Amino acid sequence: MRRLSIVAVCLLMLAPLPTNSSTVSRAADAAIDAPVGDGIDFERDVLSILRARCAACHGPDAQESGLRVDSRQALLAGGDVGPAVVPGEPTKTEILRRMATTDPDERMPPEGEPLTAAEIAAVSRWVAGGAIWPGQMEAAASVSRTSDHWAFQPLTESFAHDSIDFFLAAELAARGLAPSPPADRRTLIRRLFLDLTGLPPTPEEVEAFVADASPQAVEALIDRLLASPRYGERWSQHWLDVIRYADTRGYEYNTLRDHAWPYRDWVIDALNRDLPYDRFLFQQLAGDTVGVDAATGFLVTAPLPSPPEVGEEPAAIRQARLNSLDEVVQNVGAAVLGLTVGCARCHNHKFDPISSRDYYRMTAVFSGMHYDDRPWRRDNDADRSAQIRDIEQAIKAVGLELAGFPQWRSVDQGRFSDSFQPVTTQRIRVNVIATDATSEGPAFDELEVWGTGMPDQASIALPATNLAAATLGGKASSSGAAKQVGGDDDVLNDGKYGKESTWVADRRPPAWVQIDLPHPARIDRVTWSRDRHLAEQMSPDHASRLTSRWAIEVDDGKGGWRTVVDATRTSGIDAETAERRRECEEKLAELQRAAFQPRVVFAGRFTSPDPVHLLLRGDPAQPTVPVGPGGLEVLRGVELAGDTPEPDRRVALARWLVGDAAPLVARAIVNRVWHHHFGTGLVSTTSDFGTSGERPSHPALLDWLARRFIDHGWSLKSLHRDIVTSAAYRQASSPVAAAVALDPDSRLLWRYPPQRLDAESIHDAMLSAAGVLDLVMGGPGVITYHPKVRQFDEWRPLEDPGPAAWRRMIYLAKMRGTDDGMFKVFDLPDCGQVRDKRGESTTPLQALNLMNGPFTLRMAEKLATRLRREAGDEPSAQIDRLFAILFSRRPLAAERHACIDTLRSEGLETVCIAAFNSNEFLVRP
Amino acid sequence: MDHHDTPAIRRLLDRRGFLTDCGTAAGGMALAHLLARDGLLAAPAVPSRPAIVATHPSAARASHFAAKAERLLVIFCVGAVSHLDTWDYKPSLYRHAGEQPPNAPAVTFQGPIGKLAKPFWTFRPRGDSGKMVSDLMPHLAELTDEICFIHSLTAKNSAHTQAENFLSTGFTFEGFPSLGAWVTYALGSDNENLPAFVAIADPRGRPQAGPNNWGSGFLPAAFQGTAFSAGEPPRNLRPAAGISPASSRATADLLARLNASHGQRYPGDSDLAARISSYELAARMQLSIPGVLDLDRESPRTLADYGATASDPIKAGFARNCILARRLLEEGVRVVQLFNGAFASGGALNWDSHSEIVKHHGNHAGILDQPAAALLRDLKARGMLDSTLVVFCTEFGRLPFMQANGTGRDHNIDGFTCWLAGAGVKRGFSFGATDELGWKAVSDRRTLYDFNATILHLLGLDHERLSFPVSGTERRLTDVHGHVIHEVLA
Repeated sequence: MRRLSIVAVCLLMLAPLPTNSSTVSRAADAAIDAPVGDGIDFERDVLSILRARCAACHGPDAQESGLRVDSRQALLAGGDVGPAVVPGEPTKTEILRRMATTDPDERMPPEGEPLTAAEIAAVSRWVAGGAIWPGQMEAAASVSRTSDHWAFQPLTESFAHDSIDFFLAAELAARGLAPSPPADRRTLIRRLFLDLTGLPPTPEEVEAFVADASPQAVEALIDRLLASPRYGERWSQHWLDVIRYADTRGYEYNTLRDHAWPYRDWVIDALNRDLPYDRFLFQQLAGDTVGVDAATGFLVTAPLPSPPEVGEEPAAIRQARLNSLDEVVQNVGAAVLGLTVGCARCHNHKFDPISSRDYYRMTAVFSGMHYDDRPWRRDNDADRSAQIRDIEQAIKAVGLELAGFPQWRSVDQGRFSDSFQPVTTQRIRVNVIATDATSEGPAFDELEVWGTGMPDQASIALPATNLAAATLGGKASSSGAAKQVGGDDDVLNDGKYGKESTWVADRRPPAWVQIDLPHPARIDRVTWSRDRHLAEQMSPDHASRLTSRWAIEVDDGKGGWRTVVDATRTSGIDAETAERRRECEEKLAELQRAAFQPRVVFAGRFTSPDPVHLLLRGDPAQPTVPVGPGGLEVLRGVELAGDTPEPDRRVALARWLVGDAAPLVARAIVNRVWHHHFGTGLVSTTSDFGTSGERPSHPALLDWLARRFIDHGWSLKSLHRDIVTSAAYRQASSPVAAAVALDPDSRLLWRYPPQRLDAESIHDAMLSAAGVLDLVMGGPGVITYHPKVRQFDEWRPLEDPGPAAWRRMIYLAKMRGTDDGMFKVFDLPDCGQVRDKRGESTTPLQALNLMNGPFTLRMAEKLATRLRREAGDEPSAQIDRLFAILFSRRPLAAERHACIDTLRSEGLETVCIAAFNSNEFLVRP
Repeated sequence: MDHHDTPAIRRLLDRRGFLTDCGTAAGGMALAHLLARDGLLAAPAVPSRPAIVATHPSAARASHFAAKAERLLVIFCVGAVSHLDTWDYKPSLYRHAGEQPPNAPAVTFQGPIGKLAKPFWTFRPRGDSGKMVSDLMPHLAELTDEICFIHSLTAKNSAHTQAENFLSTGFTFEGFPSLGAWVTYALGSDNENLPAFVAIADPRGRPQAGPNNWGSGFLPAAFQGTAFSAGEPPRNLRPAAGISPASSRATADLLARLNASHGQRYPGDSDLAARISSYELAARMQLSIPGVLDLDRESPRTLADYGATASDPIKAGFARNCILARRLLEEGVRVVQLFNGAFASGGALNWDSHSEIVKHHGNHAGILDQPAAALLRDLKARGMLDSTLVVFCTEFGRLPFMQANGTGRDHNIDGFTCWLAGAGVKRGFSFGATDELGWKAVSDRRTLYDFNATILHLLGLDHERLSFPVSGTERRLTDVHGHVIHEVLA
């Protein structure tokens, strides 16, 4: 009752609430706003309350929520939710808020009567007056964060051994274990290829390696693999996993980030060049200061809701901004430092010496960064523009050469293809001016339109998508169909070829066919065909309705039509001219691809930094003290002034990472590399080197590797070489029962632990085995999904994206949170959260996809074709070749027998499907 | 035999939780546990580590304690159902309709606000309890005596995708495991011939947060939900057209021989054995899923009761999904997530009625009501409701005042209603309350963390122990929050 009346009185006299939660009572609010320094006696009015009402739980005997109230220093340092007292700032002082709140879950003290308004007022005046605690004013404002935890110590400088195997041998011997004998050459080359390049070796590479008796054969192979561009394609994926790179923005809209891929290409290239890891990190944090723009794509890899998904409430907008900065801190914390810095967002870290202030310092480093495109300057701009000039000249020259040919289109495969300069339009019309037999109208079984998709996604190629397809919303119309002979207009874009699905004009030329796209698209090619599946044996009667003169027009958007192709097919052109013209066309297409360069890159846009405050409980509505940019205090990170300009703060953080933080940073990366080579890190918790992480299985070895890594100029390739040349890496992987009993995971490496291939390796190995893997590097991700018609549509995978997608998986556009229908069940990350380790699930859905999925069937067909081509018609030769390609060995007699039986009854493709599903193919041995 | 018998499973489980090295956090935790037992310290939860057998990742596993519910059905209404027009009766709204809402912000999620509005459907007392429920969903209203309403829920983010993520995974961000994944990770399933966790999308499309609602996040992929519906069978279940059954059998036979031959070189390697076993499970799924999808086996009466014969193809499609849900639960599938509503579409394809709420809510209710009510009745008639927990949820509620357009209600995360029914919960019970306008939860305010903790509790799982180590953190469905809502337990 008494409290209520105070509330009532105070309601009349009080100013609005401060920033604190609305559950603060008005009475307490009055107390907090009370005037300063009117005769407060610290010991009588404040210390007595702290001792009597707080210290039992927050004192020398107990520190609930990590808080003590028995010294000024402890109050200022605070507990899990941040500082408990902010001198001079009663409204930002957590203990006052907690004393005053009416929320029973939050009120302090939780037991007994609440503090009276007078008591709260006294504490508030004390805080407002600067929280003077006689005798304690000299102590530092924050508790110095030090730690004796191993990961925060300098690297050991002297070692008992000088090679990986000696370190391992000591631990093995201590457990009564011994290493396994060396793996045979066939196993070793498979392991090295799959591990270092993500692709299996070819039979020829295997045989050459097996036959090479020289003692340097293994080293030579390792050098060759590390020098291969395939190495960067493989190992960049490990890095991109951790920081969850994807080509879409995630959340509901999940639209394309069209210009993210240059970062992916930069990572691949950096690894291939063996860019020293310290510079690798520097460029990702501050590449813009040294002319390497794409590298800062690192900062903006996280998913992010778009503004309409955030809404219009100011609090939600602030929260979203803070979340976007939190994502960067997670990238740096987890990937680079191997620490769970993000845990300190709402309170000081529970286990590690990381304070909330540390967290907000790191946030402040990026508070001038926005998730956005930025102009893309190249590190070799001058070279690049010279190169572009050369390409443009070459394009002109080829163009002239092409103009010299008769206007002619290829008729082989029953398909005409007209390419033209890209144009944005929604309607495409083919006007047929003449056919070979002028008495008859033209016929088409399919009319297809190709291009680069929607205008706002101009830089993303959609080579595999027929934009005219009815399934995508394309509508066909014509000057009139002869329905008694062929189908209605809709057969023009029904995706079916051949006589059963042919459109025939109801008149002699002129006639026209037209496609209306569901939305404007940027197109550059139209193909059309007649009995395409019969193309190879096209008979004269098929030719009778062939179009010989035509023009292609597009809607110019202003009510008129614009001609993009005006062509005549000339009969009797000689094969050689035809071939030269085709070469010319291909060359032109290639040059145009090379000349294509986006002018921007999705690598963060930088503005003057927003001020950052330490937030109580991470709540943007509860800012306390301002915080400047800096690194972690426990690793001697210095806090810079709050007005430090934009690039300087990122530069400073980058320097700190490879300076004061170098021991931890080096340990974290050598451990990651070890993890990927052996399946488990020396520290198994690869993104947590803190006190809740696992301790290293071989601490001295970890330090030895880190030391050596730094001494070798932060060279990742040297590190790989050290690891894969070790006897531990080169030993056999067969289980040994006695050792399994003692160390089932082979953490001590008594055998090489075999691992199931990851999703990318399965995909790439199947393409490679089928002989159709396109090793073209770089560029926009190939989209293997239907285009989105509305932005909130989900990405639906194409049933068969076709040869354009037969590239290494790293070059396929990565859609966040999307099921690709095939590889997701193989633990492909969804790119939502930082992912330092992939699962190795085994599920029936994997079996279903790999047995029945269209990709498997397509690859089995291609592999069978390859086997017939390379091994001839003899089944046993085909099976031998199959084993050489898929398993790097010859079949046993029984295996050959079983395969030939299946081949005879069900065909070679069936054997190929079974072999793709076999454990031997899917495991890195 | 040690159930953690393969390297892969051991890696998945991260054994540090079992280590006793006192220098580690786990050692500290073990110590803390001892202290807690002796009453010396509040007990931090000791993570449970399900005993997953590599060859049978979905084999049934024991719960933490005796479970009230053996299986879980989640009916997820995408887009945010207005609690004010359905289950949360606020007579004051009739008096204050047309007035400016007191102390309201100028803008809410979608923009400037309008005036208070009365409920758009009439409320009537229902059942023995006399609970006031609106006419919007008359079939479900008849089941009021079966339902346990929670009227005082709060959410964390007023954007749909983030809020769906929050409801389904406990985090507004992407990439965390879903409720269904957590449950099947812990409990496996009673029928290994079907996926342990099935997500049934609405006939109109996927929800806004898409597969994140049934994803496995950082849990092993084995525990992600398998998405299929009555109208859309799982992908790759059948061999492609042109592959004969004989050919399929031949492939499987040859594969078995190749694996056997290879296995001789890796005797006792259980990862390889697990892969072989997964093909056997896949073969069994190929047989059992088409059976469960064959709704023609249902009686005409059942089809009619559910509304599967309705002329509206969307209602009929949703009804068929409801029948499928019942069949899956009958077959022992652990978690079925049944979506009503798809992606954002100006209110046309889901409950997100920012404008023309009368039309849009009316439309969605017409699709949801009869089939969902029939499903509940059917579960009860078959004696399954006592062992099945039914969760009716939506990502947040709607505001008591209109948007500036005067025809729709904006998002409300400060107070809304979800309900439970079936195993282990009170019948005909209402818990918690919003203020007199139905705007903010004021009495027994609870979070979705609490809601999810309660669901896990009913399944015999301690939400604080059901955790998984990720990058140094024991991650949970309930993050670091959540209290079981004991008041709703029967």
